[in-house]
Amino acid sequence: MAWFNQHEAQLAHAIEREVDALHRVASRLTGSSSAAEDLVQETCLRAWRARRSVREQREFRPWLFRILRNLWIDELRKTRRTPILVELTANEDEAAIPETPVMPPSDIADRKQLERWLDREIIAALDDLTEHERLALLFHAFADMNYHEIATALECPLGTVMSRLHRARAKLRERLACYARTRGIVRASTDTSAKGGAASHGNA
Amino acid sequence: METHDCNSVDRLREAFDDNELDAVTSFAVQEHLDACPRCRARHAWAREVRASLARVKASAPMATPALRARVRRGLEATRRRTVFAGAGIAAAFVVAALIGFRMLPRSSDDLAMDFARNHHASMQRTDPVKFASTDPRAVETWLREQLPFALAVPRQPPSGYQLKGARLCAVAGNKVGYLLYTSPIESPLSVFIGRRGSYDFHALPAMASENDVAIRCGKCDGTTVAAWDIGESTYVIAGNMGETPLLAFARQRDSIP
Repeated sequence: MAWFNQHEAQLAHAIEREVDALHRVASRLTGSSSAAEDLVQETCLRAWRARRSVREQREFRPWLFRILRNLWIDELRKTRRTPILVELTANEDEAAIPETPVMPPSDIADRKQLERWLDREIIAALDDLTEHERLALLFHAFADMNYHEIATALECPLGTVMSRLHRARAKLRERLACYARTRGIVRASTDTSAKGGAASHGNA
Repeated sequence: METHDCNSVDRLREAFDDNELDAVTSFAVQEHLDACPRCRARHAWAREVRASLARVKASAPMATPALRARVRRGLEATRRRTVFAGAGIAAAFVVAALIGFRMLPRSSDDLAMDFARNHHASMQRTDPVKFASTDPRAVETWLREQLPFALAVPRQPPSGYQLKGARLCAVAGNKVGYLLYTSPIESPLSVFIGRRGSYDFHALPAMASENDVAIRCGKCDGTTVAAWDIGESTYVIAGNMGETPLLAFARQRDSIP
């Protein structure tokens, strides 16, 4: 029996408790305050109407964010002509992110200034991720979901979640490091072994 | 123990930082990072990404009160429709009149009444506290041992009052911590500390809102009941005290560790 059949009274409270997390993710997905609010409201209402599909309490959060994702994809489909959410092939999934060797950020003197630059750059970089990568990363970083919950929310295997998170963060990391280097915030690394990339580096 | 090269560490590092690896693999990744300057530098940048995302998350706008109200109204409207679905409206009215109120979650007014009654009942008890102490830290430690959530006891009592101690009690089906404050000239105050989200006082009017602390206030049976959330806890105060000392007590979030 669906968990919320027996605990309906708790559902509204459970949904309301997630409004902030939903709003954080929706704001970053839509890039618009009003669109984010519409998305959150519709997510909550759909969740209530579909409450009988929640079998266990622990499924609630992934299920709620899956509704958000589906509504967002529907909205994208209405407004976009280009295909979206293209599945990665195995080769693409494993493709290495090019590495820009730079000094570690611990060598940077003006820490506050660096953080301001990086935060601005991260916000821009999030928009350049694929939808798959962005959803996985936002669910993890903005909604505090673990890998299992993300896998349930995105209806994909755990390994795929790990790959998407890995690629998303690698892209962000590369963009930040590249940005820091080109702006002269840090020097290019003098570690010659790094230039060959991961494949040529020796085993530990 | 299995050792890892840079490629495998590169793949595992995210899960390592997310605490999603088993202990053995986690140790092996740490060992590689300790030994490999190149992976350490990449790891440092990965942590920059993580820290930056955390800052961006922290600075993201919270849901506005207007959005919360929209969601609440939408849910309430849908719930009402759900209650009436599948039956004739007239029949539903009869059912609702007879048993409907038992099926719906408690309203904010009902909750406030529960707390007011519990306050009055506590005043009648010969043992209103089980753990007697005027030290908020000692009371906090005792309560934390009894309750499954991280609560905090305010370090400063309401002006003119003294903490007498604590006990556990149940209000509207939830286990909460109870604090008793007494005054030589005023009637006692009860403060209940429950897990945040256990109670919904949104329908009560907000008396004040400062630094994200919205204090909702109502009057039941001649007793003032005020509620607010801080951290993981919901605080409910019941008793008769003026608005100024009540606000001063509720706003002392700096003294709540």
